[in-house]
Amino acid sequence: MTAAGHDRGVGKGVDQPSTADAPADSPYSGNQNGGRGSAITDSASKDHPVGTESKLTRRLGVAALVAMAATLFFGLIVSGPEVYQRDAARLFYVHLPSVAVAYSGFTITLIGSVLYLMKKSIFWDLVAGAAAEIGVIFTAFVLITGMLWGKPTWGVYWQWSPRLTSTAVMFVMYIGYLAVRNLELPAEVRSQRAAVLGVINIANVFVVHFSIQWWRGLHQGQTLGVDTQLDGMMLFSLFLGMVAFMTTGAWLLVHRFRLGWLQHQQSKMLLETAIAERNAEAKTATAYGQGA
Amino acid sequence: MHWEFVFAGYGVVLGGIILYATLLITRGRKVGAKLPPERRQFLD
Repeated sequence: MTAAGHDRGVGKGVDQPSTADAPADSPYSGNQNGGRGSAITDSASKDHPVGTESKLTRRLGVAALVAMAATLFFGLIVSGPEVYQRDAARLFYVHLPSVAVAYSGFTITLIGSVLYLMKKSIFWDLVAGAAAEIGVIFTAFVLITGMLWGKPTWGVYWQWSPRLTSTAVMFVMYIGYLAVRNLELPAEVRSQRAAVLGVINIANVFVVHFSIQWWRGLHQGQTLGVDTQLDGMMLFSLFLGMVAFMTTGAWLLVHRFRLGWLQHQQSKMLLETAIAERNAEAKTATAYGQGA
Repeated sequence: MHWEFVFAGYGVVLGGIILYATLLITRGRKVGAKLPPERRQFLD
């Protein structure tokens, strides 16, 4: 995931430009081959892939695909129905792993935010943002699969019980975090505010996790613990789901981080080009003034 | 019993992952194509 030669500090006052901002005749515009792909695309060496892919992402992607296929096979076919909830319990193999990915994403956001506040490094800011986005997406999966599991089990899709409510609040809080990352502010100010929010938001992750112990509600108690009573094949399917989802989460995180990095590089390049153009104009004007 | 809920849940999750991954990869290629090689170096 590491980007080579990453700089320290955020470009001050630089907003993320749209990819459409690059001039059409720019050597990096990607429009030099009759629109069928850029010169860079064609000449890109294997060491410098055009997009966010690399050997690492390909390996992670293949591992995620294999693990996901195994989860589907064991979760939907091999593993038997649960005694009380019957086949609806099969949602367990995607619901709980989604929770694990969401928690991991928000924990990485916390770590990235703290390190950004300490080092002011754009690298950690991008890591925090990428992890929060993954966390939000998997929290959405948690809420949707939870509701679909709730209907046949509880008779309702939704109830404002502590676990469900706190999860919904967590979802909204991290959407807020992502919204702050897109505010029209100088980049340094925006990153600073997002980092503070990334630290504050983690408090609700603890509330979500311990809500089933602190308050009574519809949601079942802790599934995995010392007194786990899961059938061997169900436990194995759950383990496969955990591996599949964590690998998928890591794969998505690398891609999301690299996309953020490329956008940052594009923003920096456009700023440098604009500064060079203004300097050239100033030199021409000075030379003209001296000549006159 | 209740297979419709199971398939809906698995469909949303798998479909969501595929959609998000596709968006990330295509956007990465689009942005990366506008950058010179030295600005898109990653270490594995």
